[in-house]
Parts: sequence; structure tokens; C-alpha cells
Amino acid sequence: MFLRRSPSVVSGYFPGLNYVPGQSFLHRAHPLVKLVLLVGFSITVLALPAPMAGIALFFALLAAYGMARLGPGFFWRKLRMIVLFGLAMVVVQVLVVKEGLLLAALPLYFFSLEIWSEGLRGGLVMMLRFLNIIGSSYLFVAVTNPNNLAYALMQAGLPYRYGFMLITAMRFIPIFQRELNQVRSAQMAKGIDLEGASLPKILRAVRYLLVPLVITALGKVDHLAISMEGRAFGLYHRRSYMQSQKLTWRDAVFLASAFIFFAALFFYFY
Amino acid sequence: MEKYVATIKNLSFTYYGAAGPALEGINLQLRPGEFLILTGPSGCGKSTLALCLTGFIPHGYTGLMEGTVEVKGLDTRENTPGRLAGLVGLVQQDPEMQLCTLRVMDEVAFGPENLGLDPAEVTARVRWALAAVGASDLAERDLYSLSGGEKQKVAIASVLAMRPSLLILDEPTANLDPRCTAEVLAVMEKLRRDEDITVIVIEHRLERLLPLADRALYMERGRIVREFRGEELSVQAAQYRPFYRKIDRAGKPRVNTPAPPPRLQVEGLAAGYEAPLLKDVSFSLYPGEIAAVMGDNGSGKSTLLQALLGLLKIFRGKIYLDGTDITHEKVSRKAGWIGLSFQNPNHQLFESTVIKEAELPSLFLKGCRPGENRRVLSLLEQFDLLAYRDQLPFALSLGEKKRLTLVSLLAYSPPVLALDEPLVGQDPHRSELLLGALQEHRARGGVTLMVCHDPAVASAWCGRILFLEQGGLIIDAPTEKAFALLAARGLTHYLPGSSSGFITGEG
Amino acid sequence: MKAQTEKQTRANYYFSSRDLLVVAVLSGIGGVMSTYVGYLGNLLNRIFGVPFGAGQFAAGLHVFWIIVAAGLVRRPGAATATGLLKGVVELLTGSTHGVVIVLVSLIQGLLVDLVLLLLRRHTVLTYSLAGALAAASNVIVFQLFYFSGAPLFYIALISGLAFISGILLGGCFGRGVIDIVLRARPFRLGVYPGDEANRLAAQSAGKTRLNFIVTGLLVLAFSAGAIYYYAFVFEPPWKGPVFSVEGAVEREGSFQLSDFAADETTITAELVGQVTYVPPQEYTGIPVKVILERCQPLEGATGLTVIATDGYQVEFPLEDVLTDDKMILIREEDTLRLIAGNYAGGYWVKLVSKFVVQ
Repeated sequence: MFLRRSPSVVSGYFPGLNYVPGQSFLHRAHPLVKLVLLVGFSITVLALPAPMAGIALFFALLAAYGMARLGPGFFWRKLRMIVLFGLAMVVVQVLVVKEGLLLAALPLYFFSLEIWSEGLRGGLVMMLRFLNIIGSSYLFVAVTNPNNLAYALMQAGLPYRYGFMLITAMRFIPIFQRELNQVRSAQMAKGIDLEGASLPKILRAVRYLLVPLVITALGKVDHLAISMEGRAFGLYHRRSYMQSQKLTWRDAVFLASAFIFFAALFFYFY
Repeated sequence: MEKYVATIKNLSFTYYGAAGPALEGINLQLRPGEFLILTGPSGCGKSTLALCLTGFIPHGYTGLMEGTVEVKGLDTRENTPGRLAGLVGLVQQDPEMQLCTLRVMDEVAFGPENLGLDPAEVTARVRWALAAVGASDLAERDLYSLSGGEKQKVAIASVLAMRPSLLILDEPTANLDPRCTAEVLAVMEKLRRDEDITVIVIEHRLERLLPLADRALYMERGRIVREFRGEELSVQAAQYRPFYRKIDRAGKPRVNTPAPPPRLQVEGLAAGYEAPLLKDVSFSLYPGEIAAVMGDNGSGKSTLLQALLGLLKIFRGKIYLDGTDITHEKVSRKAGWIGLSFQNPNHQLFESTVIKEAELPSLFLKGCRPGENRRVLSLLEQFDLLAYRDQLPFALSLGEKKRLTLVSLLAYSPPVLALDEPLVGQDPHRSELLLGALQEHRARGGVTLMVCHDPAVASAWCGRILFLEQGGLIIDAPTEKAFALLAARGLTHYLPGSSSGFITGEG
Repeated sequence: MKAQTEKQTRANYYFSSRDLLVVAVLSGIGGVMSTYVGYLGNLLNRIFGVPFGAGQFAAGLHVFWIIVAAGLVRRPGAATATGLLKGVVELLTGSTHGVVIVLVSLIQGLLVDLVLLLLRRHTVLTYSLAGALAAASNVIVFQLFYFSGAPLFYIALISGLAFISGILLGGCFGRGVIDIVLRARPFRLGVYPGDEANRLAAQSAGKTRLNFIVTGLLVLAFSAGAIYYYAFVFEPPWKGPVFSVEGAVEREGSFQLSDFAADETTITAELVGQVTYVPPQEYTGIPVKVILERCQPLEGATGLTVIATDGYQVEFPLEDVLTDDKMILIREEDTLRLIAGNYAGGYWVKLVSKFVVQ
């Protein structure tokens, strides 16, 4: 069925993955430090194609997951699909690429299954890159409260009118989730048949889904604008903050040591 | 200090493109500390007046404004809503739509922070505002985890934190269930008692408010037509009754008459998403019955209606229609038997014209060809919608949209109607139309389940009340008996009369 | 308390609060929907039996939100803001693409803004073009990030799919929804001055049929073009990939191996690398010196840098190359590879894209 109502979407206020409240060091680290590290990590992953660099980064990532104390099953639960997809990429590469050294050959009836070093290397590199980028993003999302991130960005200089767009968008996600389910239910209640996947049916389904959603969503804009401007939103270019998020020496040490690690990898592998 | 908090002189306003003025010749002076009620039928201009006082008219809405509005000596024509923000605050109807942050504390701090106040001052104001609405314990909570009433309290606190001289509450309880309504009313009583600010409450349901008020204004077609003060107020409260005409009720047939078999029978129903929200619900409805489904928000009223149709996962239990088990039929088949309308009409409009929208379920459920179902046209006519037949459904007003959804259901006449708050946005005349349609449905032996928050409606229209609490059906009884049981349980805000103080322009 | 901050009112802002909220609301809901769109993509992949790509049928649905925001706000930058915000929302709600989605979405927004800024019109045509380019861009950006080793042909095909999806679901459908919104007016606050809103609504109502016809023709033309291209013009991998010669040469240019077919030679070489060893075998290709001679290196040029698509590069002394018979460029499936018979394995560059003469 097209656009099935999946239980995970209804249960959580955010689909799939979201912030997991906690008290670990990573949870309490300054949001911008985490953001900078995420970007630094991703750039390092993309810049260093050597398999050993990928493995080193992967172990660093695992260590970070440990630090976040999300529980032993968390990594596997959230990244299962990604790991499987990565393995599939390795298999494809091994089957396709026949270069480098012949590592193993398994003679079968009509052909022999051969594993060449370059195929294995290429597949491994791809899989690690994929795992590292997505794994680090997931970790970032799991330990960073979006609210704190937005406030930290604004306190660091992002104009607050833009910063609040992120907060408002996040604020409405549970409501959009609910409305999406409502629209789906209303469609079924009217007997609108969405089963089957022919192109005209999909196009019609898309129209029946998106139009009510867009209209309801935009219907909130007036109320929000009145509520926000009625409370002096945008009256001045700057505003104050009740709570300020400060960098601690632990943040600084964390940031510095991570960057020393990245630099070492660059020095060694680039 | 000025003598008046706000002064309105000869104010008229016409929205751009509207046929007539929304406000006409309004004159009003508000004294410091005054508590004022503003009431009148929907579309009478109450909310427009609130927009004028907060400066969103003329800044923001396009249209023609005449006359002047001064708040604390500031002319709204020269001062934007932002500038007026510390002087006048507006709390809107739907708490969900006026909260813009993720945490209670951030929401209340939002205004003072925008003023660039010192963090210590912001903190002090947040504490004070939350205490003023009796919500200090909510400070650390996430907004999405709050109930409707709690959200509205936070919305009021977030406006109070601006320290306005004039606070306007625009139907602050319209979207709330009776329990939450009672909470918000208590906040208003507290404000009246403890804080020295001018308050305007725009409301339909007045009984608990009238004792607080210094004045009540009744508006009609953009004008203030009557003003009540002092003694008059309490008299009016007693005198004016709800507009609902009584329908002759069809209760469960008495034991000694030959009992017809039930039309709709639900046995031990448990339904929800991953876990059952609805637990072990059983009831039977007999031909011609209209049942009110009542309970707090989140008690499972909408869940029950949706579960009947199989829109949720059914864990246990059976649903019978005319003795046939339909529990596990496909949703699209069940939709042919159970016509469901949702609370928010915007979620259930799909087509590009009113006529197509009205025909939609007939096409899908009955296999009619466009134009084939003659009932559609006569129903559109009956519900005052025929004039809009080629217009975009989304451009209709809330009440019109709700009527359109009903037309689309009635057009294919399913034996069971499941209506979620069908009366929202309907004036007395249109409510009568709906009543007529339900009578017709009864005459054909159909049954109706109707979620409603207004005990007056339940009392006037329904033969039976199904009362839900935390997903369980705790009361299933004929109306009078159900009210007695509710009273015995102390659920007094669900009794008729608890919200029936209506004021009209007549008399 | 008002005196303590500089006195400036909202009139000075480029985006009004309403504009920003339109962007926020559409980004939020677009972010929520992307989960479902992803699901739809997987479903289509399964129907077509491919590992990835068929989901590009739905690519236009990602761009749709950006187009609607651009069409409602009508100020350059709105699309970019929507793209960025939608990307961040997707990241924070657990997109399966991680941080990459922010960049993908941002680039889509930038492209929409760019097209609308250059064409200065808000019509179904400009929306379709913007939607098509933005939708197709996601394929390319993802390839840049995770070079998947998929054949160029397949990548071109799914880009084409995304392109068509961008026209239909992004441009045409986006335009249709913008019209509905303008007519339904779910918000009234600070919309364009009334005249303009009505003019827009009237204009769109009148032209719907024309727009539809024009769009239909556009889609047909594009589809026909695409079929023609793939059937007759497209040079499939068996003809050969492209490389370029740049820098200190008389004639810079972009070539295929087939351009030098007359000079094809076969050599025997042995790959000796640090980890890799391939015993002597025969390779057939075009001597690099032939290629360089055709481009005529300038006097004073001393070096040749060979650059691969993945950024890998090696340098050779130019005079050595010009006399080297055992340095040839060969085709390997749809990529080029440098066989440097006289050099160690590290100099056997794969995925060659460029020769730069210094």
C-alpha cells in the first residue's frame, strides 16, 4: 500500500531517529562543538579514501557511541539497514571489480568466484564512508537537543528571526505528523482507494495528500505571526537570552583532542 | 496616567475584497482594571476588534480602516504590533497554533527576550507569569507533552510576561474539552482577583465568566448592539438559554416492547496504534438512535470513531452491523456503511470544486459516475452551499467546510454516521439544518455517533451518552441517567447548565 | 525599556515574519513528508527490481516544497532558505542520508532560486525548469559523496528520471498547489497588497489550461528528446569515456580514445605496487605522447599531471612522457586508466579525467 501508516511514525513525536535525552558527556557538550565535530568528521571521512583511515574513523565513531551511553543495542538498531546496505555495496564491488591481486578463487561449475584485492578494497572503502557519515550524523542527532542547538546558533550570531524558523519547524513536526495521519485516515474514510501503484493513481494520491496538508499547514501562519509579533518578535535586531550556553574547558579539550586526531589521520594518510 | 487604557473612536473596518464591513461605528473606552466580556454570533466582528486593538489592523491585514484606536495614548495607525507588544497582549483560540518554541520556559521567556531585557529580568517575569496562571510546575516541561488546557495556560503566561496593560483572550476555551475549559476559567478568575490589568474575554460560553465581569458587550454584524452592566449581567445570565431546539429523543426501547435487533454492536473493542488506546469498549445502538460520545480530550472519543472504521489497529473485539461481523472488512468497504467526518474539515477536503468534493465518496464507495447522484445537488441546496458549487472547497469558511463534509456523507446515506464535533462553526440556523438532516437519517433507521463537548447539545439532541475516560467506556446510559451518573462522579463540567449562559441580542 | 535597544522596526527586514513562517512551516512539513517519500522510493525500487534509482520518480516531491515556498514568498533567497531548513529538519528527524541531506537540499534550494532569479518569471515553465534541475541535482550530489561505482549510463538514466519528476511533481504540481493556495487564502496577514494577490489568482485561473498544454508539450518534448538522445546520440560506454587536456598546450581540448583510433598500440606491462601485483599482461590503448603531441605542449612546459575523477593525481616529467612508448591510456569499462609501464603501481592512475601540462 502506498504511504502506509507505520507505527514508528505515530508512536514517536519524530519519525525514526530523534534526540535521545541523556546525561552523558556527549549530551552535555556544547551543541556547536558537536556540530563542528560532525562537519570535521565528515570532511575527514570524505577526504581520506584509504581503508585504514576509514577503519580508524569507524573505531573513533564506535568509541563516541560508547561515550554517549545510548546502550549497546542502539548502534545496531539504528544502523542495521545502513550496515546491510554497505555490505551489499562490498559484494557488488567484489563481483564486478577484477583488479589487483587475486586473493581467493572459489571454482564453481561454470565460472569461478574470484575475490580480487581491488574489489575488496573499493567495496570496503565505500561501505566505511557510508557508515561513517551516516553513523556520525545519527550520533549527532541522538545526543543533540534541537532546541539547544538552535539557541546556541542564535547566541553565536545567527540572526534570531532565522534561528526561530528552525525551532518553529521542529515545534510543528508532531502536529504535522498527526495531520498527515488524519489526512490519510480521512482519505480512507472517503473510500479513496490508494492501493496499487500505477502512475495516475500515484499522482492522484499525491494530490489528495499534499493539497490538504499544505493548506492546513499554511493556515497556521497567521496565528503564529500574530502570536510572535504580538510578543515583539522582530521589533529589534537583537534580543537577549534568559539562559546562555557557555563553552566549558571540557568542551575545549574535547574539540582540541578530536581535531588533533583528525589532523593525525590527514598527516598519515593524505 | 491616562483615564482609559484604550479608546476606540468611530472605528470601521472592511477587509479587502469583502462585501461589507467587518466592523462599523465602534466606540469603546476601557478603564484600567476592567474585566469585559465580548460576545455575539460567529462572524460578528469580535475577533476583528481584537486585531484592531493589537495593531494587526491596520498593520498586516489589508482593508479599509476608518476612525482611531489608541492604546495607552499610542495611535495604532502609527505603531506596529511590535511596538504595542508591551501594552496589549492577545491570546488566541487554538493554543496549539500560537506556541512557537519547544519548552514552556522558552515560550514564556520569548516575549521578554525579544524586548532585549536583562536575563535576570526575563527570569523574574517568567516566574511571575507562570505563577499568575498557576503553572509554575510546568516550567521545565516540553510543550508537546502538555494537555490542551496546560498549553492555553502557557499561552496566557507567555503574553502576561510582556506585562501588558490590556489582555485580550479570544475564545480561549473554544478548542478545549470541559475539564481544560474549567482550568482556563480558573486562570481567568485568578487574574481577576490577583492582577490589576484590563481584561477582555471574547466568549460564547459565559456562565462562569459573568460573575467576574464588569461589563458585557453583545456584537452583531460588526456593531456593538447591547451593553450589560452590574445587576443586569446576572439577570441576563439566568434569562438566556441555549439555542438548541430539542429533538424528540430515541432512547433504547423499553424492555416490554419488542426490541429490534441492534443496528451497530461493538463488543470488547480494543484498538490503537501499537498499544490499545481504547480498552474493552462494548455498546449497542438501535435503529434511530443518536448517541453523544463525550469525555476529556485524549480520552479516546475520536479513536473510537476511527476504530469503528478500522483506521486503527484492532487488537481485540468485534464490530457487528445488523448482526454481521464487519470487524475485519477492508476499510474501503466499511466506509460504505459507516460515514465518518473528522474534527478538522481541512484534513478531509481533496477536490478542486465543491460539487466534486460532495460527490467524491459516492464515486469511490458507491461506484456512481459524476453527476449521477442527484441527492448531492439537493443536499448542497439544503445546506446553503449550492451557490459555491464551482468554487474551491478550501476557500470556504470553517462552518461551510464542515457542512460540505456532511453533505458528502449524507449523499451516499450510510447506515451509521460517526461525526466528530459537527456543530463547530455553525450558527443556530445552520445547526437546525443539521438537525433536520439527522432527523431524516433517524427516520431511515440510521444510527448516529456524535462527539460533542457541549452538554447542552447532548441534552437536547441525543438519546444516549457514551462517556469515555482514558480509553474505557465508563458510562453508557440514556441522557438523563448519564447526567445523573456524571454528577455522582463529580464530573460537573459535563452537565448541562455548566456552560449554557448564552447572551443574545434580543430582549 | 524600549529605549535600551536601537529603534528599528520590522519594515526594515528583507523577509517579513510571515515570509519566514511560510518557509518554516513548509520546511517542517516537507521534512516530515520526506520519510514517506523515501518509503515510496523504496517501494518503486522493489517494483522495478533495481537497488536504487527508481525512487527518483519521487525526486520532484522533495523539490515541491521549495517551489511552493518560492512561489508564495516571491523573493530571491526564499528557496535557498527552504532548502537549507528542510535539510536540517530532515537531518534532525533522522534522515537515512545523514548530514549529506543538508547539502543536497541546500543545493536544490539554490538552483531553484538561481533559475527564478535568472528568468525573472513565476510561470509553470520557470517552475518546471527549476524543479527539473533541482531534482536532477540530487543524483549528482549523492554521486559526488558516495561514488558508488554505478555505470555512467545508469546515473544518466536516473538523473533523467529525476529531471522528469522535477518537471511534473516539482514544477507543474507545485504551480498547481500555489494557485490553490492563492485562491484559498489560508492566511491573510501581510500577504501581497490585495490587488496583487487577486491579480495573481485571476491570472493563474485564466491560464490554467494554457499552462497545462504548454507543460504537456514540454514534457513530451523532453521525453522525446531523452529517448532520442539515449537511442541515437548518447555515446554509451562501449564508445568510450571522455578526458581533457589542459594547461600549457597550444590546443586545449576534450577527447575520447576513439579520436586517436589510428594510433592504438598494444604493450606488455607488469604492475608492481606496494600491495598490488599484476603479472605481465597485454594492454591496448593510446600512447599518451600521441595525445599530447596532438595538443602541442608549449615551449617551457616541463611537467604533466594526470588527474583522476576521485582527485588522485600523479606527476611525470614532460620530456620523459613525450618519449615513453610504454605509457598508454586504456579503457576499462566506462573509465580510463593510465598504464605506466615504466613506473611503479602508484603511477597507474585509474579513473583518469584530466591531463594538465605545466
